[in-house]
Amino acid sequence: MSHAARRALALGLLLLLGFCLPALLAPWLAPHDPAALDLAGALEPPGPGHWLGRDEQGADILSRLLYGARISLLVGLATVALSATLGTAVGVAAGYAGGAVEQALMRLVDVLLAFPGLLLAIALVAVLGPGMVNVVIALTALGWTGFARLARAQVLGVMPLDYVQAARSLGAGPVRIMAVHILPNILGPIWVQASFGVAGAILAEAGLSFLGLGAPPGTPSWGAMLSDGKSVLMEAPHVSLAPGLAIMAVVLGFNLLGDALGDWLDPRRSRE
Amino acid sequence: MRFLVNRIVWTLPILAGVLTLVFLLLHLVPGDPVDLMLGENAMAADRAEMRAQLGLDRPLGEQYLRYLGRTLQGDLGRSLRGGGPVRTLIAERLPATAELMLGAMVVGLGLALPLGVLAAVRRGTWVDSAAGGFAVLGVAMPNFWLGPLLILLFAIRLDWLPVNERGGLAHLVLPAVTLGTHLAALLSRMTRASLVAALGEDYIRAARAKGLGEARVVGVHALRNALIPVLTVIGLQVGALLSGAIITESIFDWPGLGSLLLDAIRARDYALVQGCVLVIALSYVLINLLTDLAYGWADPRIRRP
Amino acid sequence: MLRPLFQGGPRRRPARALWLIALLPLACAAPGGARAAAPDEVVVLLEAAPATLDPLLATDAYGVRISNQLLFDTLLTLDDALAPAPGLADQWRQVTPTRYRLRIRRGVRFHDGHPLTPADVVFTLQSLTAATGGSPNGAALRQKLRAVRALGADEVELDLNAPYASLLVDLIVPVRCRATPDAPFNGTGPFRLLRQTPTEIALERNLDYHGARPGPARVTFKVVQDENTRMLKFLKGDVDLAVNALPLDKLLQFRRAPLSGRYRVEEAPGLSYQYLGLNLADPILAQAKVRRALALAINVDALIKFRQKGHATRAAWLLPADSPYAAPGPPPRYDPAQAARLLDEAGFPLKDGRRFGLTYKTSTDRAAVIQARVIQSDLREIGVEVDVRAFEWATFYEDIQKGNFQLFSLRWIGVVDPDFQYELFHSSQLPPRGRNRGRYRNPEADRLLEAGRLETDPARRRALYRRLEGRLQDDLPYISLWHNNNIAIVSRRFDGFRLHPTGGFQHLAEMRPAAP
Repeated sequence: MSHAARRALALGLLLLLGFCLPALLAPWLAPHDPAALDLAGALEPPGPGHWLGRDEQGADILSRLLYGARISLLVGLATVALSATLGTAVGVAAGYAGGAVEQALMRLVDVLLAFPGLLLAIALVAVLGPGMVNVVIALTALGWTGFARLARAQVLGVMPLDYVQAARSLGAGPVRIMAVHILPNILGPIWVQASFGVAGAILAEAGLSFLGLGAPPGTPSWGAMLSDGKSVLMEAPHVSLAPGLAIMAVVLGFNLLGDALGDWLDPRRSRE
Repeated sequence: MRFLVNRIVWTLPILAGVLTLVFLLLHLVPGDPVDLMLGENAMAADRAEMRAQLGLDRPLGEQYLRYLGRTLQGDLGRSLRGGGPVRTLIAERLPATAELMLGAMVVGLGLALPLGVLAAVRRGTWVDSAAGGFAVLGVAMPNFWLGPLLILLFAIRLDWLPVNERGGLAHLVLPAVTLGTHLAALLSRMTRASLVAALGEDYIRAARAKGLGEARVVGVHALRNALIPVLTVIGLQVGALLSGAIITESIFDWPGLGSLLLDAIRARDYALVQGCVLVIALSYVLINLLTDLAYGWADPRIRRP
Repeated sequence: MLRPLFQGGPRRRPARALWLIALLPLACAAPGGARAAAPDEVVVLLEAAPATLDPLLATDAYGVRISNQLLFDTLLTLDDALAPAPGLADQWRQVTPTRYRLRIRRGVRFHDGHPLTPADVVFTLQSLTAATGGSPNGAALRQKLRAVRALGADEVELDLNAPYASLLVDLIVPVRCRATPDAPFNGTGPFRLLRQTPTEIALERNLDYHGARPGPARVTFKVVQDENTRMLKFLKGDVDLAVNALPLDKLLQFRRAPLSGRYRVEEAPGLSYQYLGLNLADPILAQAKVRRALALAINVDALIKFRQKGHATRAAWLLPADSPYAAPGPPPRYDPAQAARLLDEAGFPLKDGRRFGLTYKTSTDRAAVIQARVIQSDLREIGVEVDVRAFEWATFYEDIQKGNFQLFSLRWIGVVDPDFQYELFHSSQLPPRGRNRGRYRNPEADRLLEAGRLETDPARRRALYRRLEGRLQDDLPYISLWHNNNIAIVSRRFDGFRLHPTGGFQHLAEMRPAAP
């Protein structure tokens, strides 16, 4: 196994152990009920019993952090799964069809990309209302464009190749060509983009929740925890510390994984 | 040249698409601005009059066409609160956002260049690794975590800097650092890679052979050429800077376009939201255009697919 | 990776461009920082900007207070004992039960020099209550006033539709100048408007003020939305006054140095009424037993102790206990066991730890959301699953108006007269006509409300309202929470500021630099 491949594997495992497992096992790992409020113990600093301290309503921060990991994981994976599917489909179709169809689809992508990312997400969530499902919808509505552009560019590179032309001349239908011949050959960069996409989605959801536009109140979203922490920054900085570090670690992990995957798939590609 | 004309021609329809999208979004939202302005006590007659005055009683299609027509003439309408012209409100806030973004770019470059150069020149040593570590962390760090921590440390605990207001240069430091760190992290890696590539070029060997000092070789010859891709990346990152600015302005109470936009969304101030989004999108498209122009000028052989 | 093209040779442009970029922010940076305040300039902190200062349109608390108490004088005022007191009308008498005469003060001028005449008062009242283009602030008067005219050189006569008992309170309206109907800030008040931006409002002393000379030469209102920044402003001494503008958990810091040396904190019981609104049109909440159970299950005292930090008093009903129109009964005591029994009786037994679910809508204001979560936690103990939904103010408000809610929490501010309850509980006052958001309908309550607003004898009026409020306390269209105290933080640089029970700026003009 190449060095780059090993690195990718190592990072993937690390993420799995450090983030995904705790997220999935939160109900068994969490020492307290994350929704248990206890006003008398509000803003208690870290100590035995509450290893990361308590927040403004007296809820245990460690437990909320673990449940928050589930939210981040779900939002990240759901957003990327939907964006990648939609975006790849559109991009492959555009690249294959060419001509006016391609132009139209790509201009639609351009219009969406003319909005700085968060702006459109904010507007969409304002329209759709609060709730994690709406956050996923809003982030997907933005995220698919990146996959579309990537997929189209990849398709343009693959189309002139011999085996695609051969399949066409043999009379294979467009869907078959796209699904069987084109798609498998462009998946590599899509996976790389997906890895970065998960990181981006987690960061975006946290940002929306920080602005008060994402998670409903009480949801232990890491972004919402940071927003709470900001209000009590002076008297209880410990509330802000843990969720921020968690976000950073998870985003870092997926970014590194994306890098490593990229290197593995195409070692000639220079590191950015 | 054809490429540039192509880009300019496509800008207008894209902007029209942006306007349409924003118009549609806002009119599907629950929350009636007239109720908000007049309060519950308003009589039905008052409400109807205000609605007519603001043109909210016309069919959607008509409202849309009127909006398009006015916007193309430069009239962005009036704010639903207080009646001030949207153009003026935006113009008042634009300098603050511009200041913040330029500050962030200065911070970005100011941190990235030394780090990137050091990393490239001391390639493979611990310096390189440390710089790489900073780069990778900086990209992952959310600015809504960094900002409050900086406030806590520098404004509250140490009391070195003022905070949460626009004023002199000292007020700009924390917001600019918060917004610029992500950019710095990205740029430092670019700088390093670009400089490493430049240092491998023939003309560098020629310069060294001529007997020029290493500092001159790196700092003057290699760096100048390595910077072009770095500067173009800044152009590409403007979108991220604009998004980041919305959050940063919210953290620091910075009186810019981002906080104006968030406030307008909460109040369903239709015209103001549309105006803000238009101005932000327009700036973004124009800056991208300029970046592409610069790119095209620097390397006429490059054509975008 | 882009391959550099330049083959050596000087290419200065990129470097120069870099320097330009570096210098631009210095050029953009706003000149100077915060201006140091003069000794007779008062800086006041606001946590939100008023939507407008125009007296016809201002409906939010700050807009109304700045316009009615500083830029304008009102026709009548409310003294510190909450009784109607002279304003620009310095005498009044009731000629018949439906006719009042007011004497207008002489020698008063508007900011632009026009003298105040009865014609201005007539103009003010007519434009306030006009059928179209009138003001949302004129709603109460519009229903009651039939005609208004000037009499002689200094009197105004008002004809009413019926002998309303609480007319005087409705006359606390700012008097505008007839000659300048389109100048929104031309008042007779102790201060003139110098400048208004989204984050700052500057007022200057009106040297021709008819009353006592205003103490501060300038008043600057600074809007600071972020809570940490507000605290920082105090720590740096940039602010002289804040009324109800600081989160309660930060108040403790004012008992310690250095803040205790720089500021004093004044606290007094206030008139605001925090409540939980219930939708009686909802099938679950239509049952009185369910509403009573909810009231018994919420630990209001704990909320007051831990969230309001003790700076509030338990509310029995809308008006505080020391009001002549206070409710007869005590607030429900905290008894979750009794609450559970009531729910069993109402036909909602416990199944797998759950009886039924309710949604609780709130604005995105942090304190409101935390309060919602605590109530959610309390109600979970008796098997009621509460879903807290936070909305942007615009959406929240619209939902409340339309009756699209089950539970919500809000606050009434400055309720002085019990007739206010007419808009809240009379069956004819569903929104948008009135403010009966909970769709409460009770014929006995209707009769009492109608009688109360026309009863002029104070003893009989008190008796009527006691009966009404006893009825309302049983029916529970609202669950009463608390009355917030008014809290003013005043710089020791100044003497003279007093809290008014409505929590407004009535005594701001009396501030003077303290003797050193």
